[in-house]
Amino acid sequence: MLTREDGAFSPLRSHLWSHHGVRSILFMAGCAVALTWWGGQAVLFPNLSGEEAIPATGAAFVPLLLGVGVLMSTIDDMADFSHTAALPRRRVLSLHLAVAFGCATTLTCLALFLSRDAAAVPLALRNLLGFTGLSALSAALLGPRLAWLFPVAHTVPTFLIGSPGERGADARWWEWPRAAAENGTAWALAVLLLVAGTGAFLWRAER
Amino acid sequence: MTGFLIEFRRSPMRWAALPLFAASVAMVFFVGGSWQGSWPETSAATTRAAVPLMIAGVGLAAQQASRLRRSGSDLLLAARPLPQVELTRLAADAAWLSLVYLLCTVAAWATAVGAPGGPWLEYPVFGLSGIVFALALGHVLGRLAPTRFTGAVAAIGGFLLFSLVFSTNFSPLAYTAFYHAIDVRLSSVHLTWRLVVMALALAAACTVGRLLETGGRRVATSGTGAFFSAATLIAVAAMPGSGSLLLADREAEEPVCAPGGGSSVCVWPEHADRLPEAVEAAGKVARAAEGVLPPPARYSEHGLGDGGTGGFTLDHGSRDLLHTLLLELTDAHKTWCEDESEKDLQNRVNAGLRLEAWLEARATRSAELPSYDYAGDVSWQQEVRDVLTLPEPRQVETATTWAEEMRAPC
Repeated sequence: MLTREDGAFSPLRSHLWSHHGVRSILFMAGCAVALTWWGGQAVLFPNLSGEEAIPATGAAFVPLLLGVGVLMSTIDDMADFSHTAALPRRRVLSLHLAVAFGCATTLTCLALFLSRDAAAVPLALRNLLGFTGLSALSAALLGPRLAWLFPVAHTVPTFLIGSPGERGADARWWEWPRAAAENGTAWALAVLLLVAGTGAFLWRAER
Repeated sequence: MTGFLIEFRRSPMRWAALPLFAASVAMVFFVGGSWQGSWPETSAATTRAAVPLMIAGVGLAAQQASRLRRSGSDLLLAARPLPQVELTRLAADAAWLSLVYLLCTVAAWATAVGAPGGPWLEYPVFGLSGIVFALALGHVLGRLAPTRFTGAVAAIGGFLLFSLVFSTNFSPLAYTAFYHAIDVRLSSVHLTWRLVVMALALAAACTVGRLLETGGRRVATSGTGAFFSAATLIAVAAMPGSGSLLLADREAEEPVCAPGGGSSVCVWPEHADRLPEAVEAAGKVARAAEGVLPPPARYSEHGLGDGGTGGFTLDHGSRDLLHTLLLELTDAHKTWCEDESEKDLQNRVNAGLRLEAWLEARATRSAELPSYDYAGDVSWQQEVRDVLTLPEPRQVETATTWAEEMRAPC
């Protein structure tokens, strides 16, 4: 399986095989199906703070799963072999993350276009940036298998006690996933999380 | 015990404890301060700390169970019976999450130190049972569907399950005591039901592994797993008490009372330190109503009155306290007639609304009327505004007329 038909070793095929690339793509595709179904529809989560409950859309929530999927696709079943490979692991992982993030972005846009919620694309992309960053931070500190922990730990208070106001106009800084698409602070935080998270993840990868 | 200590030291929960502690603290302390200052409300608010632990607990337990099943390492642990191994592992995971939960609870309780009474222990029991149930659920999920994504999917599934499906006050698996006023407490029926569901889920989690390993070939062992799994589902859906509410009205206790505004003002024992606040408000109400309505013999806090109805509230700010005291005052003088024309009834209601608005403006020494949303015709508000500009004797005279219309005999 790791070689081409002519018998030569194929690094790409080996990489995809050891990282279960097909399963990761299938997982992200499943998330995209959920996004197509949920899309821009608002679901009312209970507000445990006692304030008025504010509906949340799939475009705000589902990127959490896609971001986690990007990082979980880096789980390497041949880690010992990969670490002794001639090509630096950091370079391989950078490429891997870029491609996986590209897949997640494409699937997000496609899902929202299919559900006729194209207006929600900026919000979904911002949250994809932020959640991928948080997942990367979680993966850097706890390992890629627990990449979902930080995003989930952040999402629980954000969606259950946050009061972002109508259309996310009054979101506080920690409620960035629920802020309006044009909220500059939320974009800055999402980009900062992505840069810090992927930076930490790649730095840890060499150690 | 040695097995437990080994599992406790190697449980992945130890890495998750710190971020989950941060999320749990946020769930309690990022919410406004109305829960602080009295033991019942603070104890109920601590149940919010269990929410991230339950959701992450489902994911973490699912991930661990899935990983062990995929690696086949359970077979290596065959020196001990598999249910015993599973129980030890779950106990270690539960110990880590419970530790985080109890730390949050203690931090929240620290804000109530010095208040009358003491912590209400049924709320931590409620939270801990939720965490153990979540771990058991996650363990079963991990056993049934072992993939690398099981943990993440189980955590998100747990989030949606607890927040959208089990979020009602009827569910034994409600993830938080949503309403935490002083006049209610956890129903003992509901708490017992929750503990039974938790115990059955735990038993199912420990035995379902054997069912999967034997593939149902050994009837005795596979039957146990199937029995506990079915019993858990039945207990969630069909046990007696399924119509009961999570929170029940609290039995009225001996209140703490003090004279105020010509009446006796009574509050729950845990609000004894806030009695002066209520007495002062009763004085303001009495001064506003002087010459118009006599004060009632007693003002009672919500839940302390006859049948637990009516009463003033201390938990929603000074304006709400004044408003609810005013309603106590006017309600004592209202007359309700069974056979009355709609017009007469409307006149009686409007007279009461005018009087209450005028009294509230006077009690707050404001020229503005309280900004409540009233249904129907609100032209009477302008009449009250006009009266507020009149000299004092004329105001009292008009208000006395409204009071007479409000309590006119049938």
